[in-house]
Amino acid sequence: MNLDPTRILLVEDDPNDIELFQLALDGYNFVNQIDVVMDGEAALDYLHIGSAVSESVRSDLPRLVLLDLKLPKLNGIEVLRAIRSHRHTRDLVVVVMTSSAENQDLRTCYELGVNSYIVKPLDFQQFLNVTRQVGFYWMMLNQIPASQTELE
Amino acid sequence: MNHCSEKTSLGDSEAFLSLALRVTKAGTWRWDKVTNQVFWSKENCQLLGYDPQTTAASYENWLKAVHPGDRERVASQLAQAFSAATELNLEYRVLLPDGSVRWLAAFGERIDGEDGEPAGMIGIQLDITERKQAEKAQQTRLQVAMEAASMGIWESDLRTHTEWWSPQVEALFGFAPNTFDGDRNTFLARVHPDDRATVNADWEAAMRTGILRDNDYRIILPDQSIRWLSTLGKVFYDEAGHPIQVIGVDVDITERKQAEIALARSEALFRSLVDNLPFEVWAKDREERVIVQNPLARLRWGDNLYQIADRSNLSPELRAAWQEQDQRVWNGEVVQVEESDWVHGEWRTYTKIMAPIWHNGEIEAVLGVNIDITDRKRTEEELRQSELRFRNMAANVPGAIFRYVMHPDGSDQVIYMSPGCFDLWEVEADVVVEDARILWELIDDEDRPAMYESVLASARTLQPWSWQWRITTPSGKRKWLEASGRPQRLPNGDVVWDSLIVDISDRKWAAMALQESEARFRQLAENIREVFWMADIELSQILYVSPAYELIWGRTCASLYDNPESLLEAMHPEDRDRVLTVIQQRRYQGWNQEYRIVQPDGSVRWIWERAFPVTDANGQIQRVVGICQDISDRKQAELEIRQLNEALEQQNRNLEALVEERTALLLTFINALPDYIYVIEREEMRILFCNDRLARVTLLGDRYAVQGKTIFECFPPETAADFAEQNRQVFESGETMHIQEDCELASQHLHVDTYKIPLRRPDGTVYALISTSRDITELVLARQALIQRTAQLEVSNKELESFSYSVSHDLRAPLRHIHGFVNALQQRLQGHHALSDPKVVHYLQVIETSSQKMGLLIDGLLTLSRVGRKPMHYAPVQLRSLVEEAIALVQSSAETALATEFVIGELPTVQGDETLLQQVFSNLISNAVKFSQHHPTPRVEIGSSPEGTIWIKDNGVGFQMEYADKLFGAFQRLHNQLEFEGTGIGLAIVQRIIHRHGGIIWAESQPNQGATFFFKLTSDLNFSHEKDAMLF
Repeated sequence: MNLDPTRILLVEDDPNDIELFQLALDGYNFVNQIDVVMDGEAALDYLHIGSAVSESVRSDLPRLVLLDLKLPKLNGIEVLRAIRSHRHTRDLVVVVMTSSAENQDLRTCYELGVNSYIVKPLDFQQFLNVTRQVGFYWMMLNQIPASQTELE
Repeated sequence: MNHCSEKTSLGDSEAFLSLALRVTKAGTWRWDKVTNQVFWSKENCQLLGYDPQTTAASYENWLKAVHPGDRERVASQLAQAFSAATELNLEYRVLLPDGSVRWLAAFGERIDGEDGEPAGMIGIQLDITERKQAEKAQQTRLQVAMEAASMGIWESDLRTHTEWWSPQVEALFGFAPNTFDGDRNTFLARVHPDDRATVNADWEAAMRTGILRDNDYRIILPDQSIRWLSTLGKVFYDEAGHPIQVIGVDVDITERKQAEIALARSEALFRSLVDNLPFEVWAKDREERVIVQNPLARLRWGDNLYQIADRSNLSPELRAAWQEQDQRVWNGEVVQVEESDWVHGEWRTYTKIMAPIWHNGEIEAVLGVNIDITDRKRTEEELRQSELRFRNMAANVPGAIFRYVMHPDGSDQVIYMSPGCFDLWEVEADVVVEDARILWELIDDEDRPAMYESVLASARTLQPWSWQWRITTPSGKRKWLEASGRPQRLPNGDVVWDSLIVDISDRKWAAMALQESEARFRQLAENIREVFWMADIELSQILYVSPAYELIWGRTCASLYDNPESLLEAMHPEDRDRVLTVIQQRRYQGWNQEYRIVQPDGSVRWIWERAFPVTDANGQIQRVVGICQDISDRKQAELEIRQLNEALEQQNRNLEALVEERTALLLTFINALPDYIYVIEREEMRILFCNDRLARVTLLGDRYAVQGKTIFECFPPETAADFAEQNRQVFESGETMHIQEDCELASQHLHVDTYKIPLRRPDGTVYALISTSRDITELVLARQALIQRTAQLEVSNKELESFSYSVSHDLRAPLRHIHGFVNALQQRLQGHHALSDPKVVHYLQVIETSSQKMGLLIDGLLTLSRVGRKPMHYAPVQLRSLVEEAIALVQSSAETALATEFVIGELPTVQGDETLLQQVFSNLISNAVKFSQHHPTPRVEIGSSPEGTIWIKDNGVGFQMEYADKLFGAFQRLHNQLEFEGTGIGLAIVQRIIHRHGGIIWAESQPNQGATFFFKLTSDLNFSHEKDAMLF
């Protein structure tokens, strides 16, 4: 698994939220590129693990996936389950950012092995801070193990 | 022709020869003297036991094949035949390789050359083994036969005066084989001197007659024993008629001779025996000739007098009998008869036995024996008569006569036992005679040793013996026997008793029974507590009174004997006439009555008297006997019982009254009950009892109309069938049934809650049941409505929850966007002139605060919805620590709280959800702080009342009580935002939490007087509170 250390995949259906994310991360050097998909199915296709997937394995996976839970077609939990159940994407860093603070959602995500679960703060300033901290932490500080395929 | 025929004849000869050789399996051989070569045919080679392939023909090989025993003979005869030119005719043996022997016959002749010189020999050989074997067998047989007959052959050559004896003859004369010297004198020397002359005479005679017959002469063997011989010979003569040879055989006849001698001796013995027999013996042949007659027979009959014909004095009957008897014997029978004959002047009786004498399968003679039994007969008759007399006597005496012997060794025996034996012992006499032990065994164990001792004593002293003893017969009958006898010692040491034994049981038993009966009576009469008396028929004399009289009457028996009238005096005056009347009337039948007597000291006793007449064998009344019993105690007891009974009856009456009263009470009560109550018996399901309420629903009338009817008469058929089934279950299981059911009654349709309780008899069987039914129609309807409502509520709750969830989630997003973009806008406008316009700044401010406010509202709503959905986790919760935490929380978030004084009273530990209760206190305390913040000395008190009500009291602004019920509505506010911030959702959350605990919350206040919020969790709270209070 090759990770592009500066790329983020944002899975988010609300254009306003997309814009706010872009606003929050704009100008931070740990992000070169934000790829956006607007539903769950598109996210799986992007990662080459969806139903319409080509044979090939995507070689340049994003360093971080920011995942909303309320999504058209496949919801965030289903996307997370697919990522974790696929050999090539199992180790991807997935951070759920959602409006929902429902315990049930939290528990499900943790059971599926989410890396972080963050409720989008209502206050814009807080939102900016949180988004940047998440990006900084997962893109810059966090270490992930070398994948099996890479070792081979 | 001739030539031809000659030729043909020569050919024929060869053919014949060839055939002959082949058929006889003969072997041919030829010896050439000149070349000394031997030629032989294949057959010849095989006859010698050689293989033609391996063995060449040669003289040496021939000799080698010959049996070693014959080899020399064969060689010499062969040489002889050659030299003498005689015909070779030789029989010899060949030893075959397998060890068996083959007999061959060889024939041959010398052939001479043309020069006439011997040129060799030719010959043939045949296998004659079979013939040889047959000959040998024959010879062996002859030899065996002669040996078996002890017979030997001899030849005497009269010309040479030599004799040849066969080995058998030599053996007969005691010579070893081949040792006889051939001299006739040697023979004569062995002949017994007494017979030598006869033997010589016979020899001379034989020369004339041609036959030698030497009968029965003796020879003396070397061991001096005598042997009898018999010789038979034939004389051979020459042409001139001179005897030249005698050939004969000798036979050993010693055994026959000895038998003859023995016979003669036995004959003599027999004669002497017959002559000396003490009875007549005779024998006669078919011609009635006397063959044997001993002297006794001769004495009676004379020499020839036995012949029937000569007995002219015979009676015709006897003659006929004799003839008939003779005939039977001649037919082979043995006849034995007893007959009488007039002999020498008197009648004598004989036993005559006649038997046939057989010879060669024919009856040759009749043997007769006449035994005179006259004297024996007479003695026997006398004995028989005597015996008969004795037996008659023995059989007719009562008991048994027997002869008992004790031998010196102590063993005993019954020699004679008369037939009376069986009557005494139930054992047959012959059994006893067989073994006397049975008599001893039947004797009672306790009597046996003494009896045996007495017998021994009698044997010792020879004193007369007499004894009485008891026996138990095989059938179990008990008997007393008596015997006596006089002992007699015999020469051999035996002691003999002739005894008479009689059954004396009746005598014995009677005596003993009488004794016992009297003893029993005495014992009884003297010891019973009752008075037994006996009086004469006139009742004028007391014959006997038992000693108990003295005790009961308080008077002596003697006084009664002296003065029978004293009985009357002792009677209670009130009873006397009655008693006397009864006695007068029933004197001859007996009586049974109770009366009182008065003892001399004045005390009164109750007497129960039973009397009855005693009759003799003729039915005549002899006397009167009676029994008097002191029944004073019984009378007393009777009196007491009567009193007790009366008391009990009174008690019963009281009880009945009480029962009646209680029953009425119970009935009233039962009728007043809101339940339908009735009792149903098991057999026909009849209502035994019911209350008025039940009677009413049957529409049959009051309960008296219903009681006694079956349930089928009282209820609609289907309902009755249901009831019957339920009842049956209860009756059969014996268990209480509790059901709720709908039932259709005559009057109405009811929902009832019914108990059917079995009623049992003391033995446990269920005989009825009691049924109580409560009308729960309203309850059921209410419950149904409730269930419906609950279902509706659940649906709307679900909707509400999903609504709340969506709201919280989806409403937040636009809010966040508003907030986000306002911020972005503000940044964008930094340094822009628009921001110098205060209006723009204000508008932006409003948008931002409004969006924040809305966020708070949404959070509140979310919390409220979550509170409703969160599962409850009940656990003991210490309220005090919750309060302390809530205060700390308020103080950390609101500055005004720091100025507030908190007073915490006593707080219980409750069952509840800790997280939710924490929220309750947080909200209430923060409210209290909030609304008292304008007070100079804000103060919040938290406490509880003993019955479990928790309260939170502040000294804040308070509220008007008419709004009290609006306090807990969501978004309900009583103050404007400028006065007090707030979403108006906090109390709604509190109320929901309290409700979820099953509790209630309320508030009391007056404006500016502060407010107090009260809440109570479940009634469990009370319990917990009390319990905790006790613990503290």
